[in-house]
Amino acid sequence: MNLTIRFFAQFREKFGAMRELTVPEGARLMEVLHEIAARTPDGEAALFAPDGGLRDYVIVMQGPERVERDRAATLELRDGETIAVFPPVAGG
Amino acid sequence: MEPYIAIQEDDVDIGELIRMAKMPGTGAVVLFDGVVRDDDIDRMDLEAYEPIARELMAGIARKGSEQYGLLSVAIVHRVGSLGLGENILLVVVGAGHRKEAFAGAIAIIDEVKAQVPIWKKEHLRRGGTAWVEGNAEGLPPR
Repeated sequence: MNLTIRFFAQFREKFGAMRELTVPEGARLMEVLHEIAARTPDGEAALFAPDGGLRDYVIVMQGPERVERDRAATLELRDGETIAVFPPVAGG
Repeated sequence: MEPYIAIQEDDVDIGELIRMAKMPGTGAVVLFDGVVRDDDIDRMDLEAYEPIARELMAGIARKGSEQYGLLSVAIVHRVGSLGLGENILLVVVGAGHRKEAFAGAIAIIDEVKAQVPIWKKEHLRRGGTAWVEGNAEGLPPR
């Protein structure tokens, strides 16, 4: 299935603005993010805490909805959707 | 009334926003203009997650209208590269009286700053760049 991942701010600088990926059916968010992070210098440390979970400052949206921290750990991805990954917002 | 919401690189016609805010029954218009402050920087770059940012700003405007009885709300957030003193965020609200106009404007500004996925990177005068630290809460659960 196909998936778009968008990164913003510091994460855009590290991982690029957008990745269009083809992943197996039933792929999970954490697997996909770990794979992207592993291919990027210092990528793991940017997104993940030592226990393997997302760092506190990493915000994930699935389409228009924020993914809560507990759910991110097991989130199963859906064909055609857009995932956004960004640090805390600082507009205004 | 539908709020006016925009995310744009171009500067804003503040006079036009004030004209748009005046409806039948309007007795007060409050305008907030957030500008690039000289914190030992030359300029700043702003980026937004646009469709989501626009949708959230519209929701904040509607909620503010309901809570404070506002007659009009406009929110314009600029993106791109902005120099010192340039306009970043315009919030313009119209209401029957000043108290609800001021209170509504403050509530809307606070929510925009806390929730809308927009980020700022400062170009420091001493050299280098720094991302402005964000709101740790980020977006609310929806």
